[in-house]
Amino acid sequence: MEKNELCRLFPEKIRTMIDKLPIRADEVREIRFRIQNPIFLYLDGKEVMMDKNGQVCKEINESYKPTKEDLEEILSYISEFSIYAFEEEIKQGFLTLRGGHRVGIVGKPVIENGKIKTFQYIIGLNFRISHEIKGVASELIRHLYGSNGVRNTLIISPPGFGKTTMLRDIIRMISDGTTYGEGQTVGVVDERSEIGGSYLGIPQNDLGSRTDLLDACPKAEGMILLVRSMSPKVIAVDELGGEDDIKAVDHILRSGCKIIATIHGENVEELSHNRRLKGILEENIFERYIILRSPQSGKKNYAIYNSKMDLLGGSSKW
Amino acid sequence: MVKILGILMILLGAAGTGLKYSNEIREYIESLQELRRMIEYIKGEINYRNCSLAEAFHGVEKKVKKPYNQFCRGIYQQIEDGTGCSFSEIFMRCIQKELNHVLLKNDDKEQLGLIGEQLGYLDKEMQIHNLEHYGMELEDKISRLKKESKDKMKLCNCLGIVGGLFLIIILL
Repeated sequence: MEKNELCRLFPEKIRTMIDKLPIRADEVREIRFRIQNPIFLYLDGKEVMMDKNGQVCKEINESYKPTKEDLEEILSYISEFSIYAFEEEIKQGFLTLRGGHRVGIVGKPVIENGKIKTFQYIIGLNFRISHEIKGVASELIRHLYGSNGVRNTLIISPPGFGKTTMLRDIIRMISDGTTYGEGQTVGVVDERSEIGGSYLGIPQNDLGSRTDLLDACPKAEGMILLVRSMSPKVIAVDELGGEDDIKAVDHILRSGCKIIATIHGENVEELSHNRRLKGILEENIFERYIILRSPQSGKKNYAIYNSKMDLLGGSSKW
Repeated sequence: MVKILGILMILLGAAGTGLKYSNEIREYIESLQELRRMIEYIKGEINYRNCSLAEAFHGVEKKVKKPYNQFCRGIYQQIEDGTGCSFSEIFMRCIQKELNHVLLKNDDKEQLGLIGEQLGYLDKEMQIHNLEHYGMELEDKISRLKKESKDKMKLCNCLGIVGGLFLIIILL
C-alpha cells in the first residue's frame, strides 16, 4: 500500500498531517480517532501519536486532538458525502471503504424499536487498514486437504491476530487450486464485508476464481442460501458464534459441504466451555484447528492441530 | 439597386437580431428544463437505488444532454479521485467549470450551488426533500417563463422587423 493511497482515505486536514508523518503506509494497522483525544496510529507492534504538524510526538498534550467537526467531516468524506446511502452499515457500527479498509464507529446511538437506527453523536472512529497478504496460508494449506478433499477447519485467535487475513488466503488457494487439490467452488458469506472487502458491491480482495461471495448477509441465512443456490463444495465464514450460525453449520455439513470458519478465542479448550460450541466440538466436526498468536517480527505465528489435538505443524505450540 | 440591397440587408439584420433574442429565451427555458430533468434523475437514483452521490451523478451522466452530462461526470470524477475537498466545494467548482457557457443566469447558478451545500446532509428523505423542493422551484420558474416567453418572443421578432423598418425610413 502506498502512502498516497492511505492519505486518500482522509479529508484534507487529516490527510496533510498523515502525509507528513514519517511512517510507511504498509506498516499501519489501525488509526484511531477519539474526540478531544490524541489520534493513535498502530503500526507493526508499536503505537504512535501525531501532532498538528504531522510529526510523531510522545506527550499527549503535544498531540493533535480531533474535534467533533473533524470526526463529522471524516465520516462525511469516507461515505462520499452520502451517509444516507450507508445507513445499514452504520447501524452495524462500521463502514467498508474502497480497498477493503474498515471503519468502526462509536458514539451515542439512536435506538428505535430496540435496534440502533443511527448515531446521534460520533465520538470515535477506528480505521482498520486492510492488508491482503497473499501466500500467508501457503505453509499450512497442505494440512487442510485429506482423502475427501478439503477438511473442515476452524481458525481460532483473539481479535487482531489475522484470522480474516488467513481465512481470505485459504479461500483464495482452495478456489484457485493448489498442488494438494484442484480448484473448488467456494461460497463465502461475508457478513461484515471484511473477507472480500466489498465496496459498492465489488470485492476489493482476491478471493479466487471459483468463489461466490454473499456480501453483507447474515451468516446463518447466507450459508443456507449458498447451499441452495450455488452448490458450493466449501463454505467459508468469519466469526462463528451465534446459535443460528451453529445450526446453519450443522445444516451445511449434512448437505455434504465442507466448512472453513474463524472464531474468537484462545484455544479449543477455552471454546469447549462455550455452551453453543460444545456440541460441534465434541462431535469432532472440525478436522483441523489453526490457532493464531500475535505476529512476531512480522511473521505469522500459528499452530495447526487435528481433531485429536495432535500438533501437525506451525511456528509454535500452545 | 444598391438602395434595395441595403434595405433588404438592414431588414434581414434587424429581423435576425430579433430572432436571436427570441431564440435565447427558448434556449434558456430548454436549459432550465434539462436542469430540472437532471435533478429528477438524481432524485430517482437516490430514491430507488439508494445510490451514493457519486454513483447517482455517474448514473445520470448518460441520461442528460451536454453540458449537464459533463457537470455530472465532473462531480463523479472528483469524488472518485478523493480530492479531500468537501462536496459543496466540488459542486461549486463543477458549476463554474462545466456550466460556464450554458444559458443560465447567475441567480440560477447560485440556487444550484445551494443544492450542493444541502446534499449529503442527514438521511435519504432529506436528500429527496431537498431535490424535490429545488425541482418544484425550477418547475414554477419554467412555467412562468413559458407563459411570458410567448409574448416576449413575439415582441422580439416584431421589434426586430419594426426596428429594421424604422431604420430604413430614417436612412431614406
